[in-house]
Amino acid sequence: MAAGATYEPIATTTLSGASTWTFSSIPGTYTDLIAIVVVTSTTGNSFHWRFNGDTGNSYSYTVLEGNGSAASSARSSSDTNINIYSGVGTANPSMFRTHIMSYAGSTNKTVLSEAANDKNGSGIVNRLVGLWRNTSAITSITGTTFAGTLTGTATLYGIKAA
Amino acid sequence: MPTPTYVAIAKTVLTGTATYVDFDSIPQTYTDLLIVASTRNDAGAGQQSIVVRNNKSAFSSARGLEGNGSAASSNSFANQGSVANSTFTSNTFASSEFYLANYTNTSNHQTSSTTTNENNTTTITTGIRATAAIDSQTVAVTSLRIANSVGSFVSGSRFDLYGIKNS
Repeated sequence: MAAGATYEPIATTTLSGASTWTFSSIPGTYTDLIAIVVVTSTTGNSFHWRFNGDTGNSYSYTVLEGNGSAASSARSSSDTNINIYSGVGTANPSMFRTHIMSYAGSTNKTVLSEAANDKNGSGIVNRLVGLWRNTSAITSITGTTFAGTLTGTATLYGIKAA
Repeated sequence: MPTPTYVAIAKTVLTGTATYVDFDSIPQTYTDLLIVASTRNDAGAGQQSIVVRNNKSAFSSARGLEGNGSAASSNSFANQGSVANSTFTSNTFASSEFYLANYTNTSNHQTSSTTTNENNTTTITTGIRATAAIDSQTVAVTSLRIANSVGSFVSGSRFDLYGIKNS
């Protein structure tokens, strides 16, 4: 029997001056989720992720990043969101790929994220690990800017293990 | 059956040496492109790198982040991934992934890459390298060239191109 698709688009949102967007009613039928966000910002500020609308101090993350001349690392504990941290380009589109492991399982949820935010002469590259201390299945994911608005696309994919 | 959204577009496995590998006539029917590469070259010790050239042209700018097991650093690389060189243990290849989003757009394209390059010892090229690179092109990407900074890819180097569709 032929195998079914293992990497499927769940939803795509076109952002046009948006400060927040939500992927809702996420089916629990995949193994992992991957969000791809390609955007420009009016202010250059970062955005953050929240799951299931949780605004409590349930999140933590550690980021490793480079700006072309120095490497640095930072972290935040008991935060109210997972900050993608790199900022967003104002002229050139920045790209973010966020992998959410075992999102439908009953363990706390781990996130791996990468940011490509080269601004043609400056910018940031980073890798981030995040944790949402919640054992509920993730059924919605919200991205929100810290300031300004975003224009571009945000797509959520589901990945199925064999 | 659902429409496939993560599709193998092309594959190149070298049976000899090559200074670069091209993917031409890339279909414009996907949203993003992903290159997975397993690479080794014939150059000697030194900081050899590989670069993905959109439409076979140099990108404009890149930020790099590296860790080699003892220190982390960041540079404005002229290249992207690292590559196993001829001083590495036989049959050892570096593994790289290059993600190019919205490649059909006619605006600058951002590429995110990660390379792991391990040789059971510390050299200038071993460790992990992550990069963000941008081109200044205002046309869709229809071809890709994966090139060495020095030397040639050797036999057994592999390059897979995937297309990812968001609908």
